[in-house]
Amino acid sequence: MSLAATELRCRVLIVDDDPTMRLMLRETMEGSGHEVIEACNGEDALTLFEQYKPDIVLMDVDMPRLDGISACRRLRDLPEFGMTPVLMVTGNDDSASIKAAYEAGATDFISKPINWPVLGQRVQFILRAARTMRELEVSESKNSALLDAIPDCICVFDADGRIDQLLDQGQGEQWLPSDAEGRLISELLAPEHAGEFQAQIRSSLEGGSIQTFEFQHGRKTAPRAHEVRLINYRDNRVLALIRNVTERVTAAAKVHRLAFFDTLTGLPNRQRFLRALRVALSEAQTQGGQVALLFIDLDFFKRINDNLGHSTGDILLKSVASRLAGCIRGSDMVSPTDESQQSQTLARVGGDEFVILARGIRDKHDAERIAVRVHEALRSPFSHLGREFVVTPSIGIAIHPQDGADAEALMKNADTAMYEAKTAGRNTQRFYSESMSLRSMERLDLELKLRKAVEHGDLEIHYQPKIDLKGRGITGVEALLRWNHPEEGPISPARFVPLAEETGLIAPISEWVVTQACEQSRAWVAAGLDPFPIAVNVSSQLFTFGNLATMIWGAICNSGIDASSLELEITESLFLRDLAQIHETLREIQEMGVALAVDDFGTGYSSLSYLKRLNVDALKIDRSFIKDINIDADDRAICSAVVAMGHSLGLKVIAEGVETREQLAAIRDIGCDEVQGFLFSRPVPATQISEFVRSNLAGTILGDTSDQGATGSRRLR
Amino acid sequence: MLDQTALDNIRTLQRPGQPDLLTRIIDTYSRNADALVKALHRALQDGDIDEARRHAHTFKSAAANLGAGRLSELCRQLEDQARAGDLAQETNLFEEIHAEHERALTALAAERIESSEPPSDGDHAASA
Repeated sequence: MSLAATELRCRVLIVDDDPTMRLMLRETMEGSGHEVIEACNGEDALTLFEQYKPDIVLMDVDMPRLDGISACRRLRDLPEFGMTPVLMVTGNDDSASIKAAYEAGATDFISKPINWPVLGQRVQFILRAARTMRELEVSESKNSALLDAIPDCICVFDADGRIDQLLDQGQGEQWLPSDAEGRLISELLAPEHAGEFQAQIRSSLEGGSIQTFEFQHGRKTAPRAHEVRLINYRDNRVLALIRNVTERVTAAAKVHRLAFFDTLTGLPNRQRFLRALRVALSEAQTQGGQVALLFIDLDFFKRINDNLGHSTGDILLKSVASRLAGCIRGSDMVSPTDESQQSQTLARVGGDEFVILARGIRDKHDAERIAVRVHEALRSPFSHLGREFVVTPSIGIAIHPQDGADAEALMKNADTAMYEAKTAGRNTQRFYSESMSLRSMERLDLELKLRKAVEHGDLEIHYQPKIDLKGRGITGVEALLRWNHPEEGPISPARFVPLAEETGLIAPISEWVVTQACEQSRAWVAAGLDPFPIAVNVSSQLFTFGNLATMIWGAICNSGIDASSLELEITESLFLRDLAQIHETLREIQEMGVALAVDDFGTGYSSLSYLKRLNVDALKIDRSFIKDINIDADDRAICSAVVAMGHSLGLKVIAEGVETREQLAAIRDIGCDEVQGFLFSRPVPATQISEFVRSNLAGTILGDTSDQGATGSRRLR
Repeated sequence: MLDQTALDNIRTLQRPGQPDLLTRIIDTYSRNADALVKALHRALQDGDIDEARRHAHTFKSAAANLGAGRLSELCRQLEDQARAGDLAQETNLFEEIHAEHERALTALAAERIESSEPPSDGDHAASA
């Protein structure tokens, strides 16, 4: 069988309890020229791993006698495991297992049912990556092996540690001065190294053997390492061969850094941090004491990456990392040893996620003080390329032992608390509590249901008519998203829209709404109705995705409707954001012929300047002002002012949430153009809109009201 | 009855000069699946929900590998029920699995290539 030269032949450990799976995995791996070892459960896998030292492990998740996740975790703890890749074989859409697998240290995963040819390629790719890593390690040590062969310095010491003879000063950097003969080692080295040297000379003279030791000196930025071999020579003297092993030591440190440190910021990575956390927890368990974990996520950081590019994002992350490093105590971020001595450790565990581990804290106030320092450290803006950026953190805090017995639980709970800080409005911190876990479970549950609803098309759109107050009937409808869960019944948009925004589901949902609205408009016209615009609410979030205009244009073209049949409702909060980009997107949308209305007007940061600049077509007065328009003089004054202002800017003004005839009369008095509300119709399925238009219900109600007439008119429910 | 894409997927792994792979896999599967059905039945009779869930899980992916979609789906239902701790309907579901298993075996037997060597007893784990 011929194999491409680049393909690697390796030893593969297959772990699966199903013999059919093992046979197929074996066939795939042998087909690529690999040697195969099989284990039928996690325990066997551990034994076989130590015996055969495979190059890669393919592991099933669900197995008797030690499942795949636990086996993976146990493998990672084996000293000879090193960087051996583990590919987990998981069930289809079993996202919990996938997450657990990564947390247990798995390299990658592939889901069942397995596409066998793809599996072969995936394994090749992982093996290549692992080989590159290993080669780097080998080449670094090979270089240093050559250097090792050349001693830097050869000299003879007497029993007192005095240099009797300097035989060779060595090449390159000279360790001993040329006039070293006759001087004591204590005159030439720092006291701690001289003491060690002296002790080793004595051992060599007493034991008669070769003594080998290494010592590191020099500055932290330019460390030096020397290996010394002492040979019992003659006449109570030792021959010293001294080699510069700085290269080898720094190479080892570099490999260590690559494996355990984040290359961008130089901070420990997730794997290394988890190790430090486990050490800290086991110390806390034996010696008592509390450990705090602060999970820090940068608010809206993704937007910086999306809008300004990853290079800007990376530069900011480095600056953030160095400010964070400045606010932790006793930090020693690069030393591979002695981490138990530190009081605090900082690490980067994800794109814009940092963690701080604080050992030996007395109470939650100690942890809170660290959080306050983090907020202060990030308070002043970062500047880059003449621009200023404000980066705020959301911080979740979990404290061992009460908030988690092990590293995984503590990380998870700190993450949950961080999420609560986000929900609480960001740029703040929250301590973990058990009720949060419950809430986060509910949220996860809702998210899964929402994903299913999106996939299965379980969402619906209802339409609420807008009525012209001058009697011209229906002027348009607003499309409103409805979710009727088969078991839970209707779920309010107030619950699922924020969730959709957080999870990114808002993009497919919005695309679906816009497409449906366009299709519906076409259907109504085809059914003989006069065309009227359908207004669609657009989440502010969609303006950061950058393809909103394209998506809308696509929907209009595909349905063949006139662009004036679509209207967008945006909220004032949009104008708090990076205006230039949003302005550009809105302009593109308006140029297509789509009208813009500002929704919930008056509740947020109402600003006249943007209304003018953005060329908005309509304002919708928020329902909260309409509710008490007949009771509260202030509300009535606000409504009246909005109408006057809107008209002076040439905008149409619409009142939302009109439920009673009294409200309608007041709205008419202040000169509003259109109304929308239960008085005319609730949001209803599309079919009922045709009925509404044909029956001229609106006209009846308007007529009744202007006559202050009878109460018995029909309404749509 | 059987999803031919799944079977073709296996056929792509066939190496020249080797005994027919699909036949070997069908034979391994048949032997193992009978044992699984028995173990599943025993677990259900003993009311050992966790054991039943695990067997159903294994059976589910083994059946899916060989394109027995309906069987895999029935196993998934049983797995879900066991996970929810609800095995009230298990007898009916098990009967369905059993019947579907027999049908799958018949269909799989038709995919075998008879001239292939008798299957080697490749069911030993830990053979290097």
